[in-house]
Amino acid sequence: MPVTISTPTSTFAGLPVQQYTAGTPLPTDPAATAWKVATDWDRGDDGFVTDLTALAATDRAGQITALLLGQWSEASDPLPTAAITPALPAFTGVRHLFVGDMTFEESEISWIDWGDLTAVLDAFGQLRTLQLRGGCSSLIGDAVPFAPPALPELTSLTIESGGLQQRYLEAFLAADAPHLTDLELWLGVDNYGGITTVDPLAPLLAGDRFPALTRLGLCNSDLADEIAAALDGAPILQRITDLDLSKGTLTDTGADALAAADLGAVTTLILDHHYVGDDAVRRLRAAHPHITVSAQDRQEPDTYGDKTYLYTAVSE
Amino acid sequence: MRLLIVGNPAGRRTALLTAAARRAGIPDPTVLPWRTALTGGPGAAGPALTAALHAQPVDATQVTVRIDSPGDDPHVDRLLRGAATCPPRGALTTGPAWYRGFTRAATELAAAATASGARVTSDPHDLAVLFDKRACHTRLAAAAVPVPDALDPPGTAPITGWADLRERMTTHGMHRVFVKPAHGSSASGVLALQRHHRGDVLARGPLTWRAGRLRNSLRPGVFRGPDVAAVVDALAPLRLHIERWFPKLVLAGTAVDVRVLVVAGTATHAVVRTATGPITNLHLGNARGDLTALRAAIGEPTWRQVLTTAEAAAACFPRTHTVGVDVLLGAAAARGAHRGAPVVVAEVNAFGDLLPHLPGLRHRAHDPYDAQIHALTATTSTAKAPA
Repeated sequence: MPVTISTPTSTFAGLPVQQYTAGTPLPTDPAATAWKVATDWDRGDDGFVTDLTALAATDRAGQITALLLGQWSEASDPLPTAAITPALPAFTGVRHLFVGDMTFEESEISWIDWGDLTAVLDAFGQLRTLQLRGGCSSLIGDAVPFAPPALPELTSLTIESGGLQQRYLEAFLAADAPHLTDLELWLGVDNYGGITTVDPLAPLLAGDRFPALTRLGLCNSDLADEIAAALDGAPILQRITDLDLSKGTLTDTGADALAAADLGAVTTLILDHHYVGDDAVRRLRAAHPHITVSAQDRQEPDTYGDKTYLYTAVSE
Repeated sequence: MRLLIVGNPAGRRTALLTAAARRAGIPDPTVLPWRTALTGGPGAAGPALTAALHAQPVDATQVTVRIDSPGDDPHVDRLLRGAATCPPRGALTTGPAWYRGFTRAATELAAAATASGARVTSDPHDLAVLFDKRACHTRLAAAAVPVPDALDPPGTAPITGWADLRERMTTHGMHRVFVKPAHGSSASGVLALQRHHRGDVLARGPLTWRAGRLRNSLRPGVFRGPDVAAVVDALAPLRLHIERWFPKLVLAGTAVDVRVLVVAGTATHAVVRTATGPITNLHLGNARGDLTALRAAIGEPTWRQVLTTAEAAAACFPRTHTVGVDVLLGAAAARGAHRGAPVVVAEVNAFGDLLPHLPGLRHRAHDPYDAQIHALTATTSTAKAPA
């Protein structure tokens, strides 16, 4: 069965997370905390905008370095960009941003709608860390235009999605991020708006993007076997030491493709949450004795009648 | 003190209570099987109990009658509903007929016990409220016990089906609700339902379609779009109670809530229930969580708030010796929100004590049955003290 997103965010960018509520004073050193803004189940949708606006209005807002945007709407409305954009310039010190920090209790991951993400990222041009959760299925959300962002200081980009839409994927892969070292993409499944072929990954795999990249995650994908095949000899792997293909539907087919592949500079390969048999894992390890392979959390396919289903770790 | 259980003689509850009686040095409880009590129908349960009390070796005034769960026995289910045949496995049976039968039987049993001079550990009026989630919600709210908003408050008609539910959700601006059969127990028939602002709808619950019939399932079912309408329409004849979905705290990868057992007014046991989906009942294969870790995450003041909230809920049922209270903590409980920790009561269970071998909060050696017998014998001797 599909499992939904569940890990709580208790630290972000190495800082403890604390929720900010309008009317409470900030501590002397607000940079020691990652500040989260979220509405609550009984506050209506205005709580998010109220708290974020109040946080921006405090005289120490400029000292905040890490900001998390949690639940903004019980109704899965888009991020209320127009309402919050005026507040964002006050956060001059923010280097670490999380958009969509919600658990499965707060929202379906595929219902977290970033709205006009361009307007948000334009206000945070000095980000070093960007984490996004959601993306909203193209089936139920508006396709708001999203241009490749310019994030010249970005070192870490994580996008957690149950189905990352191709237009977001392509725009992020075309981002101006010359210092990006860590890229983790949860590609998801086509039912929730994700890509249906590995073609959109071609510019990444060709090594044309992100010259500083050393850690790459292509996670939570029902195309895991196809990704494994596409990685064989991919130029990008000449600079990747840590390759993460976890949370997807990798089977013996993909594991054998990896065993036969030239994996470049990779020294660590993460496959956790997979459908690979023990023999295929052994073949993979034997083929790449210098690579540390983690293959925990093996899944069993679900069978209904004559059909077999493989699930990514997070999809709804 | 002697105990007489109206229960299932072969059931776990009876075995656990008997073991606790032996540890306390009191005689093994006598069991009046629900099947026997209901032989003549729920309205004739009284004479069966009277006969059982007369068969005791001591005077009925020395006997404490415990009306235990009638669950886990399809014959008892049939007798309570006055149905001709036993329900198939997994059938959703706790509708109005079951409720009428159960409350009638409880009333007759309690009246017979009282007439014989025996003590009863639960009150039939309390049981009638505890097995009607709408009435229970009303009673808790009236006592200022925190509960999620109801979509079907007093004075409104029960939900008739999906069209009605959808319209009321729109009217009340609720997008995420829990749908609960009003007379159900455990997680039977419960749906966590949410609507996207564009109209898409998604529901999860331990339900499955089998041969065109909606059945209980230990696996979480996921329903979308028109399937949700069909499920809600199939549940509606059971009578439903609808509450706003209170987003639970998620810790270490799982959603958590706390079942607090309250015995004679005091919280004696607590178990953390965890799940990777929105429904946390332990019988669904979900796991007992780490109470120490939870207390560390939420802090002692919030933990005390959990216990006092449970005790406040139990105080709404003062003539019922033991209840199990399900307390939910909001997501903000572990991230230092300054509005005070969000805590609500999701359920009060009349038979919420089936928590085998759970150590006590105050007396670790007391399991939930030890605690109840301890409290019953203590109050018995107190009552005798002046004489």
